[in-house]
Amino acid sequence: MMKQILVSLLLAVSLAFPRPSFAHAFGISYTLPLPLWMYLYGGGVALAISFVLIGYFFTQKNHSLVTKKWQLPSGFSTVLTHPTLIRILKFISIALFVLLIFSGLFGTKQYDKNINMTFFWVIFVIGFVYFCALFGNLWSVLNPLKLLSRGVVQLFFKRDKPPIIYPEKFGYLPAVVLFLIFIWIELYGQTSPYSLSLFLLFYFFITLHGTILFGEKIWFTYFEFFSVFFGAVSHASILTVEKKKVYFRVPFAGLLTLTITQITLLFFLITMLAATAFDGFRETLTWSRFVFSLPSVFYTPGVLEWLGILGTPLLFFVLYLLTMVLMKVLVKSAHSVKELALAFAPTLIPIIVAYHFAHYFTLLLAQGQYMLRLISDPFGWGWNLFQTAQMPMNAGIIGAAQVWNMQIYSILFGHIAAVFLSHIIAMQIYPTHKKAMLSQLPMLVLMVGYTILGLWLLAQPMTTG
Amino acid sequence: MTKSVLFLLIGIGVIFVLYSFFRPQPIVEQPIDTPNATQAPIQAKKMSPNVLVLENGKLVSGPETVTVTEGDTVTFEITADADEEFHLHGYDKIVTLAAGVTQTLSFQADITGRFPYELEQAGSEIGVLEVLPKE
Repeated sequence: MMKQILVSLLLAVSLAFPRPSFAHAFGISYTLPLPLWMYLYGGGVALAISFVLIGYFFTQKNHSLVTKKWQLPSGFSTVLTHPTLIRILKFISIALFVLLIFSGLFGTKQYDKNINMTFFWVIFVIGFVYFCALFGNLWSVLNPLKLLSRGVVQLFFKRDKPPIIYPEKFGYLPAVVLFLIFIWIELYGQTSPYSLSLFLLFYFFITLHGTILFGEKIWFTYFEFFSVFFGAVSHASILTVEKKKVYFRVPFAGLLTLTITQITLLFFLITMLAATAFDGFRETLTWSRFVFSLPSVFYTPGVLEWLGILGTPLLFFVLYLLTMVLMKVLVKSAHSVKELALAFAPTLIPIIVAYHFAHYFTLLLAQGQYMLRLISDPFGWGWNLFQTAQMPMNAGIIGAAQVWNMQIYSILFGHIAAVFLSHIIAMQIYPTHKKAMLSQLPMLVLMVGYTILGLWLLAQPMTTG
Repeated sequence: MTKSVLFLLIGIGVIFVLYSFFRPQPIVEQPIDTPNATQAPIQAKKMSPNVLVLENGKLVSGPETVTVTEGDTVTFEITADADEEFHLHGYDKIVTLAAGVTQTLSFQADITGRFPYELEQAGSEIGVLEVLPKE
């Protein structure tokens, strides 16, 4: 049986990824760089509000609002957790997955006329992330890869325990590696509808084999990177489900229930943030000038790309650890640097969500609209199922001024949530109030640094293409 | 609970003060010969034509970035050395070009943002139109 699995795995690996010839990455967002005054204003607010928060925490010791939950009326809970609704959604999820694969393999090669590109890169990778960040981890319930793999295992590979025991000391490293590969595909892979379908099929094959070899629980915890990604951002959600009852809570409050025990998961979070930051950075003139100044050996295909994709998370990780070292030195508590690093890791998530939103929501608005056309003509064959195939698209759906406001306020909101959360964690782990407050000084420098970087990235003039 | 509200109000106050400090003052143009007239808003301008000359799918003459203010009228005069299709994203303007024949595209820039324009056949991006909000 193992031999059969390995053979089919090799067959899957041998699928080639043809590189299409179009010039630009998928999706255009029409965003102008943030004006200088807004960048300075944003930075100023981040600093000032951080001090207001320090003042607040200095005097206020009770933060029960953050841990409160309010139960939704039972009617809502019953509907939202109803097994039939969930079954229908699961079916739709699988159907969409199959549609994406078929439309890429057999539909038009024009990337903007095929449903799979817009659906995957815009509706799923951007839109569904925001949906789960707001409402909770629906991916863990509806993941078509999980549902299909589970089905295959139950039908053909039923056993007491999986054939391979995963050494859990490796933690989330497989997910980190797969996620980095995905980032490369996203930034440099120049997927076409056809290559996207191949990628999805290939990823499904790996997932299926992984589930067979390691078991569903291990695979979807430590290997399937979308599950880790959605799991992380979902802690920001305002809805939570407990024993089939749906509760409403303060945004990001869920992060207080997140205990991170593995450095590899911290590294995954750092990579999430670094990926968005690098995507923004590589479009700037500063990156172009940096690239131009390098000796030609760096121009070997792939070198610069991986320099950025690997270098940015490493840099962010080092800065984060430095902050923890500073904290240990300043506060002189019994906690090790590793303990501190893990305890404060959840504070990264509001910043991750804020960065992601500020950089990509305009793409969701501009390109997401095309879904209304694409549902009428998913394969790009000239159909018009719902009479929307020629619907006019509104590039001005949100003006530049509104975009800028949403960008800075989302970054600031993430910053404030992170600082707030960090204070609460400090008060949980340090024995005295004074030590907790002291520990937040290095944290403040780090957070303001992230915020200024986030705003700076948005304010940079872009290179064309 | 009231302390929380107090800090919330302080926070909002801080944001408001900073906003007033950083926000640039709106520019108004005064008509020179009528000193008693009320201040007139910035007039939307008809910009001079942007002449783009394209060879082998590349821009050899003409601006790579065209910057206007919302409401201005933008004009492009485009000449390519091969049969091409000029496409301005966002506004979704398409101009069919015959080799060597100059075509003119003129429209009012009523949507703010940054809109690339490209040649469809060559698949190359040749420039960007930036429409700044009136502020």
